[in-house]
Amino acid sequence: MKNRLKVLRAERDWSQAELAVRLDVSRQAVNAIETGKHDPSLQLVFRIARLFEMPIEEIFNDGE
Amino acid sequence: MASNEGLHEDAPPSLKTAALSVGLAFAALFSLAAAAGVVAGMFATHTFWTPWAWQITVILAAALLVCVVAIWGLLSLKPWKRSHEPVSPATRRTRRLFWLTELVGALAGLALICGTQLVHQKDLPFGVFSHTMDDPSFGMFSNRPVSPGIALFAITSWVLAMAIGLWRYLSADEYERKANDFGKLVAFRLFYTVTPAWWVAARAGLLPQPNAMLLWLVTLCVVTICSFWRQYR
Repeated sequence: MKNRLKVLRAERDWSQAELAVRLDVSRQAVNAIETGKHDPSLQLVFRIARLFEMPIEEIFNDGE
Repeated sequence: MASNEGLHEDAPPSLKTAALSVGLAFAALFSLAAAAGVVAGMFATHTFWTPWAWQITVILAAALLVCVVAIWGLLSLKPWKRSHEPVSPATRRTRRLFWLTELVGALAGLALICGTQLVHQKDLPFGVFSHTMDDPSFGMFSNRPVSPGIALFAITSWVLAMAIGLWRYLSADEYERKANDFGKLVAFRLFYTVTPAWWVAARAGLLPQPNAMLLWLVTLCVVTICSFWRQYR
């Protein structure tokens, strides 16, 4: 699943570690989501959407 | 928004550093346990100045050297303090629980090593190495009896370590849990395949009887290696 996490993070000048703290996950988790190695759970997807104050569809794209 | 130099640090954390740190931690713990077992055995058998003493001295020195080098390596790598980057509360908690699990689990191994050395060294020159599969004299995996007190201590430590390990698993974020699940899946499939094959081979006289502790050790190593690979790849 593709996502715009890296771009959104860069717009806010956050490091992966800072984003990880805000989401209460490890930095490895943020890195894995950004690089497409890990598809986050629905729960985490909602948390990300709330953090960036955006609809889920604007952050994640399943390629359909 | 806070300015951050780490913004472009998008490369995954070094698998090499993580693997090396785990390996060094294991080496430090095992060599320290081996050295403790040697000293306990020496006290139990009064073999300081017997013909075997030079061998004991060499093994003790080697164990201590490995321990010192492993600790020096860990201090150099500083896996617990990779950078000044912020760490989420969940990550901090799981890291603490990881080290607590290792520490409490190591107590069980240390108790077994010291207990075996203290009780069973009267007729043996030295108990750290053996040439037989049935009775590896390295105390932690020896099949010799230990005292009930040592056994109870080791069992309690082990059960406690497992409980803390479960707590850690439940506290970890979903990515780490998934990595751990992957490691466990690989290890289970390996165990599931190897155990009956070994048992049948032993019945045919092709191999010695299955060694439960060897299977356990291999399973543990596979879980650890596969989980870390999955997490830091």
